[in-house]
Amino acid sequence: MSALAAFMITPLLVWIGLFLYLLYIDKQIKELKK
Amino acid sequence: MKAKTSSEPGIIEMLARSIAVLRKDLVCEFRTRYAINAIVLFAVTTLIAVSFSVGGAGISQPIQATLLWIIIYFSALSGLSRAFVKEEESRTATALKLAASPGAVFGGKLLFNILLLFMLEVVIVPLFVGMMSLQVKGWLLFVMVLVTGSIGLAVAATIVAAIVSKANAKGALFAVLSFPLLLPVLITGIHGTQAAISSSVFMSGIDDLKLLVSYTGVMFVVSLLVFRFIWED
Amino acid sequence: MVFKLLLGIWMSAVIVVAFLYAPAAEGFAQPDAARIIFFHVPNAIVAAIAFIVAAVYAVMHLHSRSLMDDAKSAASAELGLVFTALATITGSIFAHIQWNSWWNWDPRETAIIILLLVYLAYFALRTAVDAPDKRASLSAVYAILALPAMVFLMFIMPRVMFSLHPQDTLISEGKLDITYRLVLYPAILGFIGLYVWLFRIRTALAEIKLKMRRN
Repeated sequence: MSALAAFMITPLLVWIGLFLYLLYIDKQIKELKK
Repeated sequence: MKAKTSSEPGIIEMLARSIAVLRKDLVCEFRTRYAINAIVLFAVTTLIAVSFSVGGAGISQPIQATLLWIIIYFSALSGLSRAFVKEEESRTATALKLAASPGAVFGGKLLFNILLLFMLEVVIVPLFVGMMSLQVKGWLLFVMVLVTGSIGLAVAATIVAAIVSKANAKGALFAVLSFPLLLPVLITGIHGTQAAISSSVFMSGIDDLKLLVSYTGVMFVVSLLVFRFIWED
Repeated sequence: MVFKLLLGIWMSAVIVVAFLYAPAAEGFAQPDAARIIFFHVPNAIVAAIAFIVAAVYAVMHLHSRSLMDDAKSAASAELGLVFTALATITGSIFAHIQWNSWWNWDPRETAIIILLLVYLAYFALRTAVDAPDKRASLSAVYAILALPAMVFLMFIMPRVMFSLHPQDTLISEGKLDITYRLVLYPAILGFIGLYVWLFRIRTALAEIKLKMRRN
């Protein structure tokens, strides 16, 4: 794997993590609204 | 009797009411001399400190210009920040609300602060020029930059003083709030003053003057529009 | 929901492309490190947009007296603060890599720092007022006052600072290569999308809090 691709993994994982977390928060808010 | 803020009158009347507010403040100030003392004391002390450590020892022109404006700026901070606090403290705010429209109140306070700054500068600028052995090549530009810059400082300081008077008493709040609003005046003022020191050509500072005038104008209008939201309860 | 999924894929694509498609920038001290631009520039743009949004909701609040408008103004300011901090930090990292100095006071750096100060001042004000309606109106007033100041600082800075201290700006690397632009613009859009989502979440939370207080 090229060095560049290796460097890319971190931001990608960070973003995916953030993304899932935001979806989770969205769900929590939907339940609070009820 | 309800303390409802009066409605806005025409311009001439607003000017007249502003002057009335101004006179009231002048009379109060004349009795206590609180603000003018604070301002002049601060400025002179700072000037002495600066002059003592650096004075005339061939410091560069940008630094000379910067020092002058720093002294003026910090004096403004110390002297203008309480423009509205005394109203809140002595409960005269209610009477003021009945007597004059928000625009007139702001106008009066602003005029007072402008006067205060001018009185300070009449004292401190000659002292500065003398103690720092400043050679100013363009006097007209020098004076005009100071005048317009001071009005700009006064406008921002007045509106921030109004905001701070409604917040919980915190000394640092005024400095924190006013700094971003005053920075354009400071930067342009310093730049224009430096131009005036180094060159006898009036036009070399014309851009700075234009900037100062337009910024002051914009801030004045916005402050005027926005003041009544601070002033009314 | 579609918007969010689209955003998720979009940003992932932007990240991949930023590393694998965009070439290393020539003329840079560390050509590959220039990729931080794809993160740094969108941050700064979102920071500015967030500020304008906060000012707009401030005006709306003064007109409507609605605490919800104030909550939205504050929410945007919160996000703006975060993005400004990120922009400042990434900018500083880039400056260190490129010019070996963490801070230069060049026009753009100064502008972003001032924006940071404005945001901090805004929140200092908010913490200094207890009554919610007073806090709302005072914050709104300040946000509006800060707008002309920001406009002047963004546009005075280049003119004045250049003549005093001639310095490299962050844009002096010459025109932006087309491949870079192809990645940068979508990156900017992606970050704006992220901001919108975060704004909606924050606002929803504020709305719930307001309702709870009323009961």
